[in-house]
Amino acid sequence: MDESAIVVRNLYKSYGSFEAINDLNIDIPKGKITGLLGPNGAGKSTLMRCILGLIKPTKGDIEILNENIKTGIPSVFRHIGSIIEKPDFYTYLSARKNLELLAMISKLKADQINIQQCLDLVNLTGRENDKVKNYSHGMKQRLGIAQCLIHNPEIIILDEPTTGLDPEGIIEFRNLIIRLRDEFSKTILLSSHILSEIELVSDHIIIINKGRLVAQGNIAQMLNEEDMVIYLETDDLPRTESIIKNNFNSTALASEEFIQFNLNKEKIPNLVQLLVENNLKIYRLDTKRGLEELYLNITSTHQ
Amino acid sequence: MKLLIFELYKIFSKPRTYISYGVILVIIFLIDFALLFSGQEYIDFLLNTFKDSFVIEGNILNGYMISYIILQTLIIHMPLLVALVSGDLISGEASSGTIKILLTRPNTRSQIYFTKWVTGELYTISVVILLGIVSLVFGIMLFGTGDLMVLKSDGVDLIQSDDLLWRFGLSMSLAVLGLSVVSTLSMMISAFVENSITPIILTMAIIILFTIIGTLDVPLFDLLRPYLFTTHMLVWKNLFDQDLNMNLIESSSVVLLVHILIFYSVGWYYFRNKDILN
Repeated sequence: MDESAIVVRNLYKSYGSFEAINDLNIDIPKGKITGLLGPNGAGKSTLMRCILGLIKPTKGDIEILNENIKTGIPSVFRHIGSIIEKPDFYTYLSARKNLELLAMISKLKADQINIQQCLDLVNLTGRENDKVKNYSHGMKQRLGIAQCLIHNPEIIILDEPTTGLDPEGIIEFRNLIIRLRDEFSKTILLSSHILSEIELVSDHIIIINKGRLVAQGNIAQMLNEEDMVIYLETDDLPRTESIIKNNFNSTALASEEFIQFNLNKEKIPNLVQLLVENNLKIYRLDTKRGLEELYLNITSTHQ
Repeated sequence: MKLLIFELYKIFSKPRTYISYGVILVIIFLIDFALLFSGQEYIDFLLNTFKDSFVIEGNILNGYMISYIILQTLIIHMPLLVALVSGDLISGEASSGTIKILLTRPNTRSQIYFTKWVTGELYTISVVILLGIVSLVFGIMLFGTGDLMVLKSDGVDLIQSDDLLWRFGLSMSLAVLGLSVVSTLSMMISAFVENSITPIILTMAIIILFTIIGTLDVPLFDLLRPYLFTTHMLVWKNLFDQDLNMNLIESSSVVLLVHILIFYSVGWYYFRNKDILN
């Protein structure tokens, strides 16, 4: 079991009769990227805001680096950087001035402040004296990361950080997040609607729905525990499809080039044996366990 | 202290902060120059009813007189100028989202609220000092010094020039106290809403409503009048009475302080427990 950076226990948040968070218990491992998933209105942003002290929970406990935020605020915020929904700045000031002011109120010692390093990390060197109101969306997003890092926090919380970014920006952002984990050992909690993004960067996932925990765990383990998605290409696709239907009771989706179907990984050797016995030539057999499918399965069974 | 520097840097980086300073300077210079060219006609008009009863000697149209006229004219509009900045202190950050930056740094909400309030107070003080000092200095430069003649409904008070500077100083302090109520009120409203306009409009609406209640001669309003801060906001004028009513000045100051305390406490309590949802 990994050491936890954030522990949430029996958390509730209600607005009148509406339960935004309902008895939530989660653990966010240290030094890993944790993807937070859930449909719209699942409570992802509410959870993140509770962790950041922006929303007061109705009941329950949140511990950040072993410090309860009920008593530990504001000292725990020395260890957290965040972007919630969109990075926010004083747009009438320059990027550098924004970072200088934030460093000033972050109670840092002079030797702990390295504004230039943060600007270099997010590729904003050369534009740091421009007013933020003149920045593009991608530049603001990168400055948001610099803002997160200015006080060298151990934990970074990012709520939908790639919203509005172009594909190039998304790739750049993804690489930056991975770098923060690998080179700087940051703990990152990341929510996104783009499942493929979460799948590409996360070590750990948490799925919530209607304010309740639906699943959490190591992403590789969770994906392997379920059925596999098989992509199969043979010299006779119609016959292959028929064999699959008759022997594995699985519905195959056939395209002109390959067949896609679900199969328990234990049955893959049987499949190969059957195809060989039927004199079919196997050109390609890919197995994949997609987060998208896992997510849809889990959330649909918890409706 | 760093939080205070942070707040001051922000408000003095915004153009709206300088609107008040600009308005004050323009009005002072306009009044001064207008009176420089047609001041005697203005004095004749003011003294029309007394010209048969008094013989007036010396420099009546002096810097103190000009400054007193400017104070009377401008102080009525000062609440709007103060609310323009104080009303934006929290709601402005809420609407732009930057309140999240502030609240996720190692400072308590109480520290943040207090610092913002101090910032509003410092701004209020700066506006009053600018008004007082520029009107006095510029007035004295153009018109010289002399005794201050204050027209009352029941006669004229003449205050000697060597008895004036402390009165101006104390009246400025009382004006600051009155405007602090406005500043604290607009900041309290600012804690409740998510846009900058509402606190300004609501503050002015409250002042107008209370002023109407305070001036209408209705028996029911007589009961309310002593408790309205607007009744006591103009207590600074009492400093220019020949015989000072210190009891009135003290009781009005207490009423204003109580209002500041109430508005501050309500705003602070709400802000401390507020969920930041936008």
